[in-house]
Amino acid sequence: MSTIDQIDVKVVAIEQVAPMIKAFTLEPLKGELTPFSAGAHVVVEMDGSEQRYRNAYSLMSDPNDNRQYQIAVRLQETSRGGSIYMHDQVALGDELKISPPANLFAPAWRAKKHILFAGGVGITPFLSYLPLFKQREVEFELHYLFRSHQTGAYSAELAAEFGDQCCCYDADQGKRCDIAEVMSGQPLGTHFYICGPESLIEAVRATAEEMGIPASAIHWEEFAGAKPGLPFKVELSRQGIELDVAADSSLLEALEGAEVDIPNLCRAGVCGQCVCNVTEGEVEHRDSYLSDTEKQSGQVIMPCVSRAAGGRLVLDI
Amino acid sequence: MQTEQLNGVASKPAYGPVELNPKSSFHLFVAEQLLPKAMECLYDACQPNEGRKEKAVVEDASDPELRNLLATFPLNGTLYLAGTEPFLWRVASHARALGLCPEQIRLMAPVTRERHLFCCHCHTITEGVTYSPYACSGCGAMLEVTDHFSRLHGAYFSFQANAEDSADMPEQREVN
Amino acid sequence: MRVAPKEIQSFRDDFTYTNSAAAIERFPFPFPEDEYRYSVNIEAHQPKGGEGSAFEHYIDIDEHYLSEMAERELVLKDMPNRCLVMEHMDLACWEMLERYMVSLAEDYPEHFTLTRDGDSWRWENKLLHIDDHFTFGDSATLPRPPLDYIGRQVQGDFALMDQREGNLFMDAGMVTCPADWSLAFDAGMSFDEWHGPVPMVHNEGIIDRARKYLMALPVGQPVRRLNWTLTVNARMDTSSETYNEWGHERASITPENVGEKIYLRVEVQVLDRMPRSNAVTISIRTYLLSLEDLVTNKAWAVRMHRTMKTLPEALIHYKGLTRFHGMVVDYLAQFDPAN
Repeated sequence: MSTIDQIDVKVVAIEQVAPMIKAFTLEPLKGELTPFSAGAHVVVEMDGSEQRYRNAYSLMSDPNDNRQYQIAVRLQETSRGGSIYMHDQVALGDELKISPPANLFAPAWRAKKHILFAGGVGITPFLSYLPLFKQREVEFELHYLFRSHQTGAYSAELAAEFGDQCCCYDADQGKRCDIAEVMSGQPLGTHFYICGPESLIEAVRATAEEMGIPASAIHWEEFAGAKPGLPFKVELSRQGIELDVAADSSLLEALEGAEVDIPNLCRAGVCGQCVCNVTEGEVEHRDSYLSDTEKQSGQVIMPCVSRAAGGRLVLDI
Repeated sequence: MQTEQLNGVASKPAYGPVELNPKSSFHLFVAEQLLPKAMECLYDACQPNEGRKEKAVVEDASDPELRNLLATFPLNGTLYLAGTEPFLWRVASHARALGLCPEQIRLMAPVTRERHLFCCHCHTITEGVTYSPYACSGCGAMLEVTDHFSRLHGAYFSFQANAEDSADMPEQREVN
Repeated sequence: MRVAPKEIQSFRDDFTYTNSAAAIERFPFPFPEDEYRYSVNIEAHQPKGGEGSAFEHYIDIDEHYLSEMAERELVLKDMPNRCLVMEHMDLACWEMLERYMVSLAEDYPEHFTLTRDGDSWRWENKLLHIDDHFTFGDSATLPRPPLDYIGRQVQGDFALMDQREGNLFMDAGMVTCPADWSLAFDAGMSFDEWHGPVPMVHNEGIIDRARKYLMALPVGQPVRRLNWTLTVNARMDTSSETYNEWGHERASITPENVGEKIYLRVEVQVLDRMPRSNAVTISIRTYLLSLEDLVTNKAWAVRMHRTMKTLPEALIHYKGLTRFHGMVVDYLAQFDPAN
């Protein structure tokens, strides 16, 4: 049967590609990896000493290369630990488990022109777009915003390879990107893609709205997964157990920590796989999957990113 | 047949009232044959601050005038269409191929309730259909009209009305 | 015991199609409970039921292989547009060919062999006496375009969906044994549009949920669902195109012939993500079993009776069972001890 569960991989190279970013090259322990489509991600599973982390990372290698995958991890000191584990604990030769690739951020191939806005480590999904853009000879521009004291991986290489098609904006050198100028005067059929912090996504979306550019020409992926919040308790009514969700842990992680198996793919509130039924308690919805009606009903939660608005939730699990 | 008595079929287009897009820098009003009154009103109501507006009557998606107008269509333009249902979808599909996003194309309710019918047996499209069953202009079969609509064909699905029992021809009814 | 392909039988005219005892035993009976309920019923396409089961392999090749391939040739000869591929689906078709060749060669090495040296491939199908060398990705090196080529060698219908604009579009397919729909008409439709005629599912949000689920399907994690209807005679090609030829058979059912002429038609639908194109392929594998053969399994007979009895009116109508549904229930009642 042609199914892939988790893939066992070995770390065959680690490279510090920016002050805060490490790139990891992963090879399968046996066989070949599957090719993937531009914009795909994998979920990397890390067995920390106190908890198991699962983080989604974009594949940034050439989609046609089935010998190895590459991911890049930005150290997020204020985050919930996965990136710290990758930076501090993972060494050359270590083995990791990854999910098969899934894609929630594919290029709109019918576009006449593609404009990419990358913020910091948000460059990663676009690195898998570029070989295919080149192969298919499509028109594109890459606008890469970073702080060279922290991020800016591959900026020199990209500038060298793509010349005028790649504009770099190093905030630490005082260079900033005039988003409105980039977006104005673009031809019919142009699509815009953003991967980076929420502020960049918001800025591009707001500019598009202001300029009357259709919303369906704007595509984005937030690379941040769950953000921390206040601790709360969750009761699983069918199993009759109660769990604590720590401030720096997501509800999904707390459930997984208690061996409660919840299907999931993106761990960022996008794919909809991990939806759970809520029977009691207020929800602070942080996902972009549920419709407004579903959110208002208060009967469902995406545990990968959303949390209790009060101190307690009861789930129908 | 699975498509008998279809109620509220999801593929049947719904045409709501068309509103102007105030953010557009170019408003293009295109009608088949004659600019209907509703579109004239919309055109008159359109007072773009900085942008421009144009209206045109064209024969079909391949009309050279339409091609010229779309050749300079901006990324934030809006295309308003009026005409028969197949015309609306043919021009819309042509505009999509040029790069317009769905929300840039606004369709006014078709000017007639005449349908194009796709005969599932011989794949001929019969025009000007207002009642069911209706004779296929290709194979002659009496076709039951359904609400299952293809944007690609600009036509509704239809099948031989009395295929199960030749003596059992449904009564003629108007289609809306 | 694996079922070996047998000599060609017909799915039209004289209807010589039969199921062996082994084929009856492995029939994918679709009803998990006594009362009929519509559900998305998606499960992982993992092996189930052990050796010889219809779910043993990614693709099920059974005793009807040669018959179904011969039937497909007849349909395509008559109506070549039962196979349609939009230009942008070329890569997806190649990926489907790859997925099928790899899994057939792995699962049925006695029948199929795939030899790969980079992009130079050799494909041997011993059942159909095919031995072709070609360059992967180059349609000019195959006798037919990739979907047309592989589709004539695998049982079941195929549809390929392009994923874009937050939806799935049916932009390619080979459909020669559908349960009453037309690929030529539905081509290019979004997921919601081509399910347009299906009753009950839209209001309940089933279609929306199914679409969102499929759009997030990862590579290498195919899922399957079963669908069913009742067909008069062992007719594979119950397409809309030929409805004017077979429709009258629905009026041919009598209490005397219902067990022999009505077939439970089950579709095992497998949905799978293609890795490079990000397309989703659906294979729709059809199994036909006469009620007479079905009731040889006592548990199935009872459940079939109860399911048919509780079928909602809208579905009886939608599935085209109106003319004979009552006779089916009456026939099955004799096998249900509750009566």
